Amino acid sequence: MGVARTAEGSERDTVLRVQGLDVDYLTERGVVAAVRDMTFSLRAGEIVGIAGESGCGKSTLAHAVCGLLHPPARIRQGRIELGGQDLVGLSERAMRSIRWERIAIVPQSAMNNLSPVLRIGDQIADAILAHRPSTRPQAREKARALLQMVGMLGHHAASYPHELSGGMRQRAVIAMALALHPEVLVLDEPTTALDVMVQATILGAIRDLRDQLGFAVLLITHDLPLLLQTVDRILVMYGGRLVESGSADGIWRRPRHPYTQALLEAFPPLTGPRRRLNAIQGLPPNLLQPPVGCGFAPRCPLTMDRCEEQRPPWTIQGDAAAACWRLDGEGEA
Amino acid sequence: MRYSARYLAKRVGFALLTIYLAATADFLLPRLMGGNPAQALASSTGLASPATVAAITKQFGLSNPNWGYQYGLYLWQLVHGNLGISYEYYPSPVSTILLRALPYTVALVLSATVISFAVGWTLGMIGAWRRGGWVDQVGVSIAFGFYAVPYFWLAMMLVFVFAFLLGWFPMGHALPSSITGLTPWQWIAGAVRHGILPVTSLVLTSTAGHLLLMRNNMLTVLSDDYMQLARAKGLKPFSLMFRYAARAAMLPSFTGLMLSLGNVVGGAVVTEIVFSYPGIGLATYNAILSHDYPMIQGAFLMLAVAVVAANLLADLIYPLLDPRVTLQ
Repeated sequence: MGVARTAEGSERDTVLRVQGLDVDYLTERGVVAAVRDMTFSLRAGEIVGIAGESGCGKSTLAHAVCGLLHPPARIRQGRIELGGQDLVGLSERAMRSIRWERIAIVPQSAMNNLSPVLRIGDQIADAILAHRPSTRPQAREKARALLQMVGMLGHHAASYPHELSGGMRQRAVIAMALALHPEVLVLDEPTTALDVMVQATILGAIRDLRDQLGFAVLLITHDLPLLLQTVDRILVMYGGRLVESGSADGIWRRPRHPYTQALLEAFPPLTGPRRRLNAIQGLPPNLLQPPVGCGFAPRCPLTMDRCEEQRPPWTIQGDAAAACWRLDGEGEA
Repeated sequence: MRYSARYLAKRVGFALLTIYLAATADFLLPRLMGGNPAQALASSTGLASPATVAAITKQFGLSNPNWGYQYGLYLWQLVHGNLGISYEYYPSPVSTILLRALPYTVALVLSATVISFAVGWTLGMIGAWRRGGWVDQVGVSIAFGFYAVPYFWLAMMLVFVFAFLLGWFPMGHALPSSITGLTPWQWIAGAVRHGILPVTSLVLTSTAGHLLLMRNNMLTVLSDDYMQLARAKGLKPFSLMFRYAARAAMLPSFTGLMLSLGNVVGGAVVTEIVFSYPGIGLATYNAILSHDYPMIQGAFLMLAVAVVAANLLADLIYPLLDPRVTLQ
């Protein structure tokens, strides 16, 4: 490995660097290789999307980055550097002061992210009070300002979660995530349970807030077209591994990995001529017995003999890169 | 306010109806168990001549065998706040006997209820928080060990070992035999010393249920998504456990607590028998043995009123604890 896999960006403004990260789930049936050899970095103010289907390890990666993994999940090796400090192996106490202060997460379920018996404003205030010397009235006042910042009303602070729609609740969680001005905001399928219109406004709000506040975003979703219109750079994961990385534009115009290609074909285009949608045939690899070669080979229309036998090398082409034998010999590195 | 005046009126009306139905059942139950109060009293005095029985029957107002007449009289007295006169302790009014026994029973059962809920909730909360840890394992096994033992046997063993063999505590009653000349502190100390064994026996058998309910609710809440977000906020474990997890997990247990509080005035029959404790339970038990209709009616009615009141109170408090519930 050793070689920096992400060609872009200067070293200076990198806020998050993940290097050679392996995450296992220790189950009764054996070790599940949930994430393998994950390497990427995130620069200040950058929005990076991670795409992949269910079970590809993207949510596990999100939790690992936030230091939220707990047994049976375990980090086998690798580094997660936040502003140069390695988070792997930090004590729970040390991790606690980093959580939310420097890295905040907006988790998947918009409906169930907030305690049903506490007021929204108090749940935001709790995050502030856990890290800042402040009084509860001051923290509540801050919470009202944060809610207004994400396009809600100040009096929503006095509401209970069940009194708000799913989109509002997720906005409230985003307001909460920004309470302490974290360097990195991890969004783990933040709009999954929401309708398309709400999805678009929420992601729009995140872009605007990023422009204002300058935090970096790691946006995780199974929805590749959503990433294409939202993020600066896309990482595609398959079977726990990175298979392609590139600019949103580059991936849209020229996907290099057959899996990325297949993902793009599985979603309908909103404009242009109608075409047949293609579901990806077959199932993702069983990570109890990780494949030796390329994990996508059994489902790949372009598979060759060596795909199943040898892991494809990471081939860098300009600002894009992919792990596919088809690219071998075309690369620059 | 989370509830309307109309809702409140409806609930109170329904509570009154329930109490009326309970009062009717309390009238029927002792009369349906057969036997004859006059006969029972006469036999106990050894003067069971037909003339004595007839005289007592007349004295008790039971000479008119028409239940309708007796029921009317009972209700008439009831709406005037008159629970009648005890047969066994004639001519003491039932209310006097109940009020004399009530403080003992309330002190006994209330403290046992509060302690067993407090212990059960605490152990259930910590057990679930550190699932499989030592509190969880030791707490659950001890609680279930006592839960599995027949209650009367446990109570008798406590008397046998700690009162009879070791002599640490008195064998029975609620107060020292001579209470004249005691300072208030000595009086309280005496009452506590008499209460320790019966309260302990009740706590030992009833904690397991509260523990298990709290533990299971807590485990459910801990796996909720909002717990993960709360943890991601960097909150301290104490705040996570209390403010986020236990706050939500106690809701189902709260209803159980309120219902138990209603049962406090019913007394603890077996406890009061084993520990010769002069509470409502023992009084009710003796009243049933001696066919003391007014006493049985009075004790049961008081229990019914307390349970209904506790239920109403639980319904009114619940929306304050769980904002998702509104009463309309």
